Amino acid sequence: MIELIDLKKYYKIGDITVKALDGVSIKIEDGEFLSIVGPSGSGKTTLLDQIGALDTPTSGNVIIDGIDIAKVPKSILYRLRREKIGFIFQDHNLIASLTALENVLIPLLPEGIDQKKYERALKLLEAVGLKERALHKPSELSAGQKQRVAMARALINNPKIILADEPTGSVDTKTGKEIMGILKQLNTDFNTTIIIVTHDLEMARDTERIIFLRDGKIDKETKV
Amino acid sequence: MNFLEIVYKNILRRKARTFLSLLGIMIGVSAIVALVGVSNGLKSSALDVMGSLTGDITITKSGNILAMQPMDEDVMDEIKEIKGVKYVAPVVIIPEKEIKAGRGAGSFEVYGIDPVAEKLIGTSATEVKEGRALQASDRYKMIVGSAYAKMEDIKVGSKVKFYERQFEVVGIMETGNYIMDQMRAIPIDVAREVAEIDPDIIHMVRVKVEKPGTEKEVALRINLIIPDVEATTSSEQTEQISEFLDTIETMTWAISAIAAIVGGIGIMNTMLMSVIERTKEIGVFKAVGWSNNDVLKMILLEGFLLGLFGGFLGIGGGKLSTIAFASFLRGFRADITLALVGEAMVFAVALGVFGGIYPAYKAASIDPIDALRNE
Repeated sequence: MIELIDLKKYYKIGDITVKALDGVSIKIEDGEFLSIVGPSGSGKTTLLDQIGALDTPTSGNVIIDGIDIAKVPKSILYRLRREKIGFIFQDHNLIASLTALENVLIPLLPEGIDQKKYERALKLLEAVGLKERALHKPSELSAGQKQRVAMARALINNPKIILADEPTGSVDTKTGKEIMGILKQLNTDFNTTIIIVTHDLEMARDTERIIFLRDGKIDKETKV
Repeated sequence: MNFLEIVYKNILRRKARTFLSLLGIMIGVSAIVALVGVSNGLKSSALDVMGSLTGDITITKSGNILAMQPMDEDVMDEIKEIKGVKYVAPVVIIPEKEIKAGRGAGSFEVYGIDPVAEKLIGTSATEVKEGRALQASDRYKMIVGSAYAKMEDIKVGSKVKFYERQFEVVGIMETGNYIMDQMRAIPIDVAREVAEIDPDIIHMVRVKVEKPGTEKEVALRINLIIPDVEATTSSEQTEQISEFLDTIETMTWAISAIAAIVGGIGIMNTMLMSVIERTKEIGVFKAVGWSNNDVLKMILLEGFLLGLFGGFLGIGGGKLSTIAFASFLRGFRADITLALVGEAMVFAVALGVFGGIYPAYKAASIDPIDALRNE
């Protein structure tokens, strides 16, 4: 379970304090498929960074599976990311010099990669329909295929939570629908908590719950 | 897939840039290997020469040790009178008149020796492999070292033109020492005649002592009694030359190390650029669960690999350049020992790793949030 309690994240830019998140409280149950929607600058990505343990809050709590990340030193937050969280970025962020298969394996590299892990990576590529493209480099893949490789990478650690920042932002509508379909499938098959940040309400309607952010605060919340 | 593989692929991403930074290390390491190798070669040759060439004590006019000053032959009579001296042998040194094209650096001197005295002292001029040593009755006869003979394709019986005269090679000496084996010797009176040197002149006197072990004592006596000469024992000469060559070796290391350090700075620059270019990528690594140490390790490994490759290329380059020099420079010899190869490699790898420390630190301190927003 993810619990955000009166979460605040302020940045100082010169003399001005920017309130990126200003008292956000949300409870997200395991296995939820949820989207965070809002205009540019509403604090969506900052919120995702907090849930993804990429950053610590100015005040308030981010509790992931009972661990309050505000109390974990920043230098070891990586463990939480490695063990519990999978990231999907808007522009996939694949490593150009590595093949699709190697890109999927990147999160596991620090702890060493054995045959079992290779097989798992191949299975994931198969699940996203890219087994035949496993040995291709990102430059040889379409935007949609790259995003699917990024999804396989997010899943390699068997994470409980997947965070997707505008996952359909760089693909056409048809591919966007396919990606949403795969995310839905993951959510159903593995009970993975999936949180999507988007400004596309159409996409958000494919999730079960939509949280609207505005000026760093929750504007409204709807169940689809 | 492992760290090494990913690092290797990173290095190969910008081949031209990687090549140029490798070139920097390579030139420095090549210089170390070649120059220190040459200095090692000089040292072992020079140390071997001592003793066998000089007899127990060598006497020259005091002053310049490198350019032999002429002495009057009468000095030999004075030396003979000194207690502990058994035999004396005079030497006249004349420069090679003609310097052949392409052999500029190999202008070797020719010794004019007294065959009888030489035999008494038992120097290398009597260690003849083929043919015979010089004899008292010889005129335009010459003995040559085996290395020189091989280089000039000279055999016993060959005719050699020297100072406008034809000399017949009667013997080939072989001591096993490269410098020694390039020596040439002719009878002393003939040497004076062809080089138009006054018949009373000698450049060096070699002494054999009566009792082995008394060399130092006898040399001291000569120095005290006879004015304007400098008597040194072969062991003293060895020490002096050894010290001189040690200084050369240290300087060689220092100069080449500067070249290599410049190469190391090149590596640091390349890696820093590469880290800046890959900011977003490093952000992704961190977002998917890499620790700061994992990133640090990856970048340091890049430095290590660059150093290692640079080291290999440098050692190869150093070896090749010594081979190239040896093919057209007479008397050139380099001793590239295993220890030198090891030292050069450790130096290259250390440069790579040190060059990588700052870029690695920079990479490890990248904030994943900033990096992911980096365009």
